[in-house]
Amino acid sequence: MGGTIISPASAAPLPRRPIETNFSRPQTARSAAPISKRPPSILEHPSQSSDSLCRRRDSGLATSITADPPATRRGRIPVFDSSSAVQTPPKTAVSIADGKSIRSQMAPSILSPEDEVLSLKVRSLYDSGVGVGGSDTGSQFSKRTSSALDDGGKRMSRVSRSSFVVGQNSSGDEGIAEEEGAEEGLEEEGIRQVPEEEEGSAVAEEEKSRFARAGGTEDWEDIDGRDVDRYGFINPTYLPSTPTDPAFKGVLPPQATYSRAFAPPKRISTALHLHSTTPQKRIHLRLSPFSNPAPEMLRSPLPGASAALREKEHTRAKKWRDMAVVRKRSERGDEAGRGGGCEWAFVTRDPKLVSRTWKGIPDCWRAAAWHAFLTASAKRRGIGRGDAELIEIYAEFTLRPSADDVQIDLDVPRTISSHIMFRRRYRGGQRLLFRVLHALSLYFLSVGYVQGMASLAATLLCYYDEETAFVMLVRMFELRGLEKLYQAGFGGLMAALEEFEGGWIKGGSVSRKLSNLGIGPTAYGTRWYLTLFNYSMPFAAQLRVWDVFMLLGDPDPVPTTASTRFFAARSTASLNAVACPEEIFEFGGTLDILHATSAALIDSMKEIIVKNDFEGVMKVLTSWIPVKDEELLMKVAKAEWKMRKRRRSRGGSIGGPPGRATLG
Amino acid sequence: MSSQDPTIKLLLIGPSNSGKTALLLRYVDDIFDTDNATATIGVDFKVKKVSVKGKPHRLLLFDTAGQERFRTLTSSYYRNAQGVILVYDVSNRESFLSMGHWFGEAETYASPGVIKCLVGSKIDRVGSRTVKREEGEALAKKYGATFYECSSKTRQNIREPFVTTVDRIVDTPQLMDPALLGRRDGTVALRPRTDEEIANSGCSC
Repeated sequence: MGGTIISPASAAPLPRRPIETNFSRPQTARSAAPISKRPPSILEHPSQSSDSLCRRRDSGLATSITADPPATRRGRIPVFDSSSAVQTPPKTAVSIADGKSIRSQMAPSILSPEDEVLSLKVRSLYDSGVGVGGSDTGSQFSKRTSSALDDGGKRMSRVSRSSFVVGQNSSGDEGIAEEEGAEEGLEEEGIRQVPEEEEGSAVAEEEKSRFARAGGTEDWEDIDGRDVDRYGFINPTYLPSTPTDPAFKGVLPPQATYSRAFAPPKRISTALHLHSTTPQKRIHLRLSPFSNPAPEMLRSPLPGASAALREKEHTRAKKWRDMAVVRKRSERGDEAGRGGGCEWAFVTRDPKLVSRTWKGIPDCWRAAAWHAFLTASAKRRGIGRGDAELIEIYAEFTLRPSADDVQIDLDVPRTISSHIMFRRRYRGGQRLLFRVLHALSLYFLSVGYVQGMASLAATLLCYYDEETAFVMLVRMFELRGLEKLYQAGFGGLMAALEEFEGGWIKGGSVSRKLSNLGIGPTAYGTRWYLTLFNYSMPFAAQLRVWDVFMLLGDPDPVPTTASTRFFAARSTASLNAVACPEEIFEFGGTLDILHATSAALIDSMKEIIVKNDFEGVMKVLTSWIPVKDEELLMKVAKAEWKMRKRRRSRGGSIGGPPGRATLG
Repeated sequence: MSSQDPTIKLLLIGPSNSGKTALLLRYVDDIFDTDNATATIGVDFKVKKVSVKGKPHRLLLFDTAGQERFRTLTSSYYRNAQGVILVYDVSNRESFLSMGHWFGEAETYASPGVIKCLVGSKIDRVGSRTVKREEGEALAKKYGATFYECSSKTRQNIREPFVTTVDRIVDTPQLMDPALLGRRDGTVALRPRTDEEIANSGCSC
């Protein structure tokens, strides 16, 4: 962005100005997220990507087992080969999550040989990140796993085929060197059996050198920088779910017209979604039954404020710099400790930090802040493993088969594929997405891969390299209740939704109406909670929700009620306990930010819900909600959240029992 | 839309990535957009106004998530559905082989007598077809379902599965029972059935 480069280990690099032109991201050798998303901090050496490091480990492993039969090799290595280069540190055995780790290590033997072969096939498609030219090759490669590939192929068709003949490598950047390293590793393993692939990779290399950015994660072919918003989404539209915006047509209050309800502005002005209401419009939010400002969030705030907002975000970024503390230098830098960036910490209880987080973390600080928040949360609660340990596990898991690989492969090409990172089949961001989800499915083996997780991983990959994205996911699962939400049978999800319905909207006119119509929270809440709103609102708004969720998603600190005590007792024991069907899901306030957001969304649609029939209500509740003013969304959510806190601190509740939802 | 018009509830089921959402989007909104395709989480909902024998009806279309895992959530949507459209991908043999299972789902959760329609999708993928038309026909026959092959991409046969299913529903008096229709709106929540409903459904699950 604007040609800025991560300043090598200056003690306090000012965060990059986030807003300037974001169309020309610097080409670097990074393997992961668009560099423009990186704050001054997160962990990487510019010339030696963690990705290539990881692969180097792979090939080291591979050499040690060359005697194994090719087909089963990869799956069996890490666990049973004690001489393997990568070993789970002995420490794991005593760490809190050991139950999980043991289960994980059983993984390879649980898979049927057939699944193992399938997994191997799928993973090999993603192996080098350049190994396969596109879906055509893919479908030749494996009929059984080909069904999703044509979608990717269509995306590929944007590629002007002329580049196959014309283009020569224009730059011998590290990206290429990395590929060679990877291919070496593959050949050693002897799993490159398919001739078509070779051709594919040659083509791929050429294309990559010409259009790839950010170390190959982004693909800019046929893309005009002006058509990409600050978050990497390619205009004209980002339609995460079925484009049902007409649902809002005619049901919204009069002056709002949504012919194309969520068509983002043409240029980077999406960057400036951080609109706040202008002073004249300032609304004091004390949610009362008589005045409901929430529907305003579905209308665009006043236009033309972009310059001011840009300045505002810049000022905020400075404030965030002042709040940030360097925690440690990354180990990934050069010998002198330069170039690796550093890890930041924040005083997460600081009321100023809390209120600034509600106002939105400046985008250049997002990655650092989220990471710091969850790290602090993990420390305070004594849950989970450290970064280094998780990263080692990640590297190990990339070598194992997962029963979910085929399903993951189906979903990867249809996850925010209008994003600059995720357009290219099998490569760039798609490859990282696959690897992260694959590892996640092994880490939480009893949960496995569930649709919806891909949205979370993709969001994180917009901010982190693959290893850190994995670390963040693990933390979110362990600390933010996601492991329960995704649990098989969806008992946790149901409990969460009941907690929401019973504790947050019960007693209101909306709740009465919904129950009259027979619309339960699973009808609309499933996607809200499982994708953490990625499916249901604009990215800019989703990020704002995540900002607060990362910071305030810990269980209530004061164990005043029986239910919170119960939670506290469980949280230490739960990880060792194998989930039993009778399990009672308690979230102890962990999900309050999600509930508050859901309540705010419902507030915004209140009039529509109350006035419409079953179909109208179902339509608005299940479709994309064109939140135009995320500032207001967050204000309403905060008001809901505070109201809830007040009730809880009074020890009782007005609207119903405080989320003592149990699995029915 | 008038809420007086009779409603017909249809459910789309089938394995992940078989093209359920694409089929529905093409039918209802005439959109085909792979760039923005996403996996369905939970259940999607659409409405389409149709005219059956000159009389307006409202089609309530429930598009379900394909991943096995979501069946616990989607099973409640079978209640009171008059028609079930089962979709597989003709270029993915696995998806076809799973159809027996999906018919089983329909029989378990939907009311007896529900109209079934089997659809083989993505027939534009001529080169990668792995399921013959005859196989699909035979399977449909076995389960008493109508059968179509279609392509959401080319629009080929998009309307037929819906139109035929609706026609068959309208021709089946017990499926258009006004007593049932009146309650049809209340079919989404997971809530206990009334005794009468249980008696009507004849299903013990």
